[in-house]
Amino acid sequence: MKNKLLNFSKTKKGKISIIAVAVLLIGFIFTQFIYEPFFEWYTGVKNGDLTYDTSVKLSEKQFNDLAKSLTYQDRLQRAEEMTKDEKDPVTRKVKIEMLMNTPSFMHDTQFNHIKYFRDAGILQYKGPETCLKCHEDITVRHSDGSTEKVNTMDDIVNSVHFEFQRMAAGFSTYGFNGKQVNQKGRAIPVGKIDRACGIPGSFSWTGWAELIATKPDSLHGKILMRSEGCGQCHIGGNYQPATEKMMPFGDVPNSAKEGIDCLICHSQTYDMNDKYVIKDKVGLRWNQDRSMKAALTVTKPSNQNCLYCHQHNMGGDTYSGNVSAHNLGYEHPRILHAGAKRGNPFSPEEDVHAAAGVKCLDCHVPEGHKIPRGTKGTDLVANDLPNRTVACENCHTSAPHTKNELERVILNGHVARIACETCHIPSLREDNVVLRDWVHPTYNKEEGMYVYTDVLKSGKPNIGFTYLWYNGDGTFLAGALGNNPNKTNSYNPLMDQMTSITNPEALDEIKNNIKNDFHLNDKQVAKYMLAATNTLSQLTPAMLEKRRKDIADNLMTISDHGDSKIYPFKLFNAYMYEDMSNQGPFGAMILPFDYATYYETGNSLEAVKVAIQNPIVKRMYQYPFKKYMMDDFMHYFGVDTWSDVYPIDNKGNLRNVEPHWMRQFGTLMINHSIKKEGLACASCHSPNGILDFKKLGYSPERVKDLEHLPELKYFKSKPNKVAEHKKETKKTVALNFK
Amino acid sequence: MNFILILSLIATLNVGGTKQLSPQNSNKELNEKCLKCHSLSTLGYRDESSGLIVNLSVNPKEFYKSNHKDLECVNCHSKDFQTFPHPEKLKQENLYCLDCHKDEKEFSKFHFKSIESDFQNSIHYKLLGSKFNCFSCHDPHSFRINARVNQRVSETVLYDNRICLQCHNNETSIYNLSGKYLPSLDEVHSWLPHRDLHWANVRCIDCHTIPTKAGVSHLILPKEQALQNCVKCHSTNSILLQSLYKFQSLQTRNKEGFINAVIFNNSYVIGATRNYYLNLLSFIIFGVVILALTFHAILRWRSNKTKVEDELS
Amino acid sequence: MNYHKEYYYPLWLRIWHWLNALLFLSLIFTGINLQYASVTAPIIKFKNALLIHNASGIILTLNYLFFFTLNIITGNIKQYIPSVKNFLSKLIIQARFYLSGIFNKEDHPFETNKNQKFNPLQQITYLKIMYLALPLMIITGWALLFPEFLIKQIFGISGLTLTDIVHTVDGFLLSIFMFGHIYLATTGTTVASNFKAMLTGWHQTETHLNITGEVTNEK
Repeated sequence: MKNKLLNFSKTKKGKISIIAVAVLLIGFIFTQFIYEPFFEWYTGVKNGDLTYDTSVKLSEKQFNDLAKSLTYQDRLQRAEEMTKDEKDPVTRKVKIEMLMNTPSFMHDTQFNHIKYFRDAGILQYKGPETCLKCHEDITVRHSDGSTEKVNTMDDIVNSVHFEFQRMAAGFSTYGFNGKQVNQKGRAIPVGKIDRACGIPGSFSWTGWAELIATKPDSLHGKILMRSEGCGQCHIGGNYQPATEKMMPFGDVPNSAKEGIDCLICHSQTYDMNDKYVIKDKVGLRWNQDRSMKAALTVTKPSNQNCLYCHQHNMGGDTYSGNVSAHNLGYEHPRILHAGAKRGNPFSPEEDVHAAAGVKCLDCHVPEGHKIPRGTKGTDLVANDLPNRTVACENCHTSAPHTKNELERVILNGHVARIACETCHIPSLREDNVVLRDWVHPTYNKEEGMYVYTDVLKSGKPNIGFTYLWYNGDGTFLAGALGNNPNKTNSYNPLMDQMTSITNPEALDEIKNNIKNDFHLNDKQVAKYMLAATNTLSQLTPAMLEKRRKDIADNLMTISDHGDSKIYPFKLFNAYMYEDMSNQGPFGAMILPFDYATYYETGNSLEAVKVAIQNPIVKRMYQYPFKKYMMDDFMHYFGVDTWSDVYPIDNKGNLRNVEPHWMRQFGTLMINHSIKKEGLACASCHSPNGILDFKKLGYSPERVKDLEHLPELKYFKSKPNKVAEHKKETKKTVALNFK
Repeated sequence: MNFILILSLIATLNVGGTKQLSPQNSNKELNEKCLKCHSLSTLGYRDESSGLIVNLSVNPKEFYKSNHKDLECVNCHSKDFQTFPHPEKLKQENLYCLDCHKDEKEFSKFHFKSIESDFQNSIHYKLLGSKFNCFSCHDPHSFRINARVNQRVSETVLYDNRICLQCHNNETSIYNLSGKYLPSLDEVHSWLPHRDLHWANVRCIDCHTIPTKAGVSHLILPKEQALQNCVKCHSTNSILLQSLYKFQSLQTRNKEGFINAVIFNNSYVIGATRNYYLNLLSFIIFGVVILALTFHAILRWRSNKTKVEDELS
Repeated sequence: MNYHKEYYYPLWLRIWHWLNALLFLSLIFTGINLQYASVTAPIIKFKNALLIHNASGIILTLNYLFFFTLNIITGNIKQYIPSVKNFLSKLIIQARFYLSGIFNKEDHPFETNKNQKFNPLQQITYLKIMYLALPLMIITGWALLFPEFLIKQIFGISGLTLTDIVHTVDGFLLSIFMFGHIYLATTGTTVASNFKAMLTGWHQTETHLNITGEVTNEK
């Protein structure tokens, strides 16, 4: 036998077999034992077993008591309904009591998982492990009507809610080189995972889960530890985002998958007070509600489930209707972020659809755990279902206006040119932030910490948001692309509307805010105002020229795609530190802040220094990542190559780091807070209308015509609040403040 | 389209006889006043009684490419439309193609009378009567006769089939018109081999009408009488020559020969488009081979016979 | 002159060959029906002809794959590869035999055996038929089955038309080959002997005994 083997190994076939076995063995060892630890060492990501104190095993009695209390209201209501004909109150009370405790009556509630759990003998919720006992596979219905059986864990792990990135095509955004993101050429991971962002001030690697020591006035000098970070709104329970998913192969470890928070989307009694940062021997991570109470009330996601997180970027953290904001945590309460990202809440008070009982998932119709965000988008947020439309027209036809017989025809006619949102979102909430200065934080006594300074907040048209032609595409830095249907070259918002603030009311407010907050003299004020309100003033003439050329060569044809309509866009810019070695005509690489340093000391520069020492940021400036991701990233940015000059030199000093506003405003779609009553005709069709027809690319004759429509007198012109915000004569910022 | 359909549904009143054509070419300027609103592609409203969306838009690009491009809006429509808001009674306006087209000499080559009688014998008219009229299929604001005689058959097919599909691909619009749901097109054509290929290269009317005097037959047949015989098209005397390829058969075919005309039209029909020269060549080669083999066989047989005789003797 | 029998054609080859022959006949017959479709005198209905043609084509493809695979596995493929040495002159010798020698009852110039079943002319013809013409036929046939994958235009000419012309011409050439093939099959030891061999697998070979009585046609 031994000899036979020996002889076999000497033949050609034998040698090949031995090599094959060796390769397989090495491959197995590499993937199973070497790759993961190596990756963790290289990128600094951490993994460990995730346990949650909220996951408690109940006794059977506790289970039954819990079930009874969860269904109490429902049972009571039904029993009252059934006994409403009983005249005698005492008899009725007895009947109600009997009914409520009848077994079949008890089982027939909206929470069917009570029965399932009881039948399966489940007395403790252990996360995905428990869910997958029954839901290992789910049937997914695609938009074309076909169905597919998928593995639930795979479905969720490869969804944007877990990954926050996409390597595939499907972005509606174009780089400044004219290439659609990930459409052609080598794809790179793109999404929220690898971009620092001006609103949160950091990004998910450097600000996933943080504990901040604050000294609120109310505690008289005592320290209150508070939770902060991107992880509060993402379903992974791990120590960092799904970094492993950025690589061409490999997967997040099973321990990370077991940390997925199913209940935050599926439970009707999820306790947001369980969302706070906890520290264990591996590091910081976010706690979650894994109680049996939450598990027993599992259903399809309701609006509240979505809004636990998404109200943050709609109504904002300080919006009174934000449920999460009233449940900040039993320990380490979460930090609330003043200044709303959009200022357009989805709530019955603010949105006509919410008031009508429309569910989030009625428009965002999911396919399994993939939830569509529509085909349009100016930003780089990854999209699970890029081809699935989410649009007003899906329910409303192209003739949505029905009431007034004279006006309805022309109003419907406007649908060809004007997006529904343009008229039906007349304003945003007042705390909608437009300009956020991260470089100069101000101390907030109430919170007991330093916070960014919002130098312009407004919900008014042409200050808080503006109107642009839009064909559904965007630039790499959230700029709406589109063109006037006359397709002339006179409309160029990337050199105009998106780069300056000219509204006197806005200018006054900025000036007042910085005078009050920063105590600047007139000269300093003028300098600050120039950069903040004329973003192009930060570019050298050569850069400005390249910008003009890039727009003309690479973006104009994309702007001409399809049929553009006028949409409202929330405006946003942030003053942040940038890596000037990686600057292009449209902006530079934004550097993240270390939250703890920032909030505790108010030293913004030091906060940058700490954040960029995060191993993965260092790796971005080194060879494999430079080639694998960053170079391609910079191509979209309009820059030839990623400079690997690390912004900290050998002596530990920052280099090539400067504070700047991005070279244009971000323009973000606003689609919620839809009002039943739209704008009136004269809101736009008047010399002081909210639409600047000239800037929108109309010829002078057409502008005159649109501003003085003779037919207008036949329409009942409703006085409208919004029309009163006058658009003032244009003064250039530079002249005003020199 | 539906707009006109609805208008004619509502009314029986005939507003005008033959309209005077405007002599000047400056119709664009005059039309501009109407198109200021009516060029908006979504101009329209939902009709209260039918629940259908009445589309009031005219696509200027299509209009100025159409056969009616030289007309002013008010050549056909009432002059009263020039006031705004438009008088309510104009909702009753009823237009009919043959008001202009019936008697004029210059239109005689289009056989409008034949079209009218074809139409009156068609299944659409028989089933739906006055609910179905010219405008049910044809939008006068975009109608182009040249689309029928296009150099590229594929474009003609696309243009013509779109006319049928605007109703037949939309079960609600069929239901609104007829009160019934028809089985899907996929289903009723499932017998047809290479269905999609046929749909892209042959017009609906090529199988669903019988050719008549008019350039394009308007005698739409009941579905039982539709053509289901492959060889009617897939043979040298294909009926497509009388319909779809009619234009080619008259002009290009004479000039360049049928095969070339068809080849360059990107529409190949098994059995109908054989290459004449290849055909001839193959017959010759085949004949030669058979002759050669026969000759060889005879020689072999003869030499064999002599050999055997030799051996015997 | 002596005869001896050798086992030339294994079972799989015979099954393939006769199935192939059957399919050829079916395809030629239905193909002609499609190409020369007529309203007045159809031999079989266009629809049926199309069905049979498609079905036969699909079976032919499977049969070809069967042939192709086993040809490689069994090493039978070597039969098809001509030896380069003096190939042209060998060809001429074989052609001359068919054109004149055969009538004078000359012997076949290249004797065949188990390892060398084909003469040079057969080798080159079969190679082209089996590895060029037939695959082309199959590929164009499948392309016509799924015309949506065809290139739309080649030099302004419809890809569909071009594919069909190639398919038709190739089909015609294969038909011509078949006539030649059947005829030449009658040039064996007796008129029927080659047919018998293809049915039974046993090929009847003329052997020449030299003085020592050894069989000479072995290498």
